Amino acid sequence: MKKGVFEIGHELVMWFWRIFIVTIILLVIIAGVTVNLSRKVEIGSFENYLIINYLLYSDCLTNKVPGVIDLSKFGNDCIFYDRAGINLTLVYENKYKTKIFNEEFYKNNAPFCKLKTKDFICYSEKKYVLVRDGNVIKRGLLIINNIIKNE
Amino acid sequence: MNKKAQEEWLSGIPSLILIFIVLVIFAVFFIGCINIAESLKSQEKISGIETKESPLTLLNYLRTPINNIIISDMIIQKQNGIKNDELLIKETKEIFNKVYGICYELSINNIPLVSSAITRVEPEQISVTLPNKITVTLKPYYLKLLSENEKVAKEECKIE
Repeated sequence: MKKGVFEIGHELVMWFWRIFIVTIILLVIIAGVTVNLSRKVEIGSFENYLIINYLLYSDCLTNKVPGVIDLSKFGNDCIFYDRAGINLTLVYENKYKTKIFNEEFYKNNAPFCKLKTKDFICYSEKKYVLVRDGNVIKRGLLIINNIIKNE
Repeated sequence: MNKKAQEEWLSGIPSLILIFIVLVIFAVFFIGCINIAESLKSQEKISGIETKESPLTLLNYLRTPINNIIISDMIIQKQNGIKNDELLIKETKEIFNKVYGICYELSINNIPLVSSAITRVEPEQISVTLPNKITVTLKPYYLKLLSENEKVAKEECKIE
């Protein structure tokens, strides 16, 4: 083998190790920075909490008395939130009343709740409520099924 | 091309192949590291309020009408010596069992009216003070279990 060829081969192996070490150092730095800077905050449960409280406290379903659902208001479209589908079932005196907010979103994405994908967060809650039917107050149960798009 | 130049050029081919292989290995390694970093992304969850119960449940319970009287008045009557425990317990169970199953405690001035079947977790606690300094406290153990596992919570608490 000629001397020049040997030197080139030797240098090549040296460069191989230099580049390898520099790449590893760079990757460690990139990974470290990515882990610390790319924080993902899951706010689905917070959104769910806000939606439920909005339903129970605002005049969306109630007649300015928090927690007392006015039957005459139950069919109103009062939530416009494109990232969530809300299915409400009001049970009182063995009667059922259902209202779905953002119905298309809810019906399209409800099957994902069973698949438990990361794209959607599903919540199901029961709340004890009072129902105002005219001037009569009745006891009722509000079943809330909520699908929120996880972004 | 003369013979010498041809020889040098040919001797460089293995080196070029080696460089190519090294670059491919680096590329694969780099993509792999990026994927690992993606999967390690810090995930923060606002879970502090996830299980927090709204005081409305207790307020609605207290203002539930029973035979022209509301439950808070029945509790005041009970504290004044009128014996209505049986009806009060029956109505309390009818209301809260649908929501919390058997995993809640309702107490009046720290004396349980309905006790929970499960007490192994520290419950949420909501209190309302009625006239005559009567304190009604609701402790839904179910909500704490719910934060652990929804399915287990529903089974343990016998919620439909």
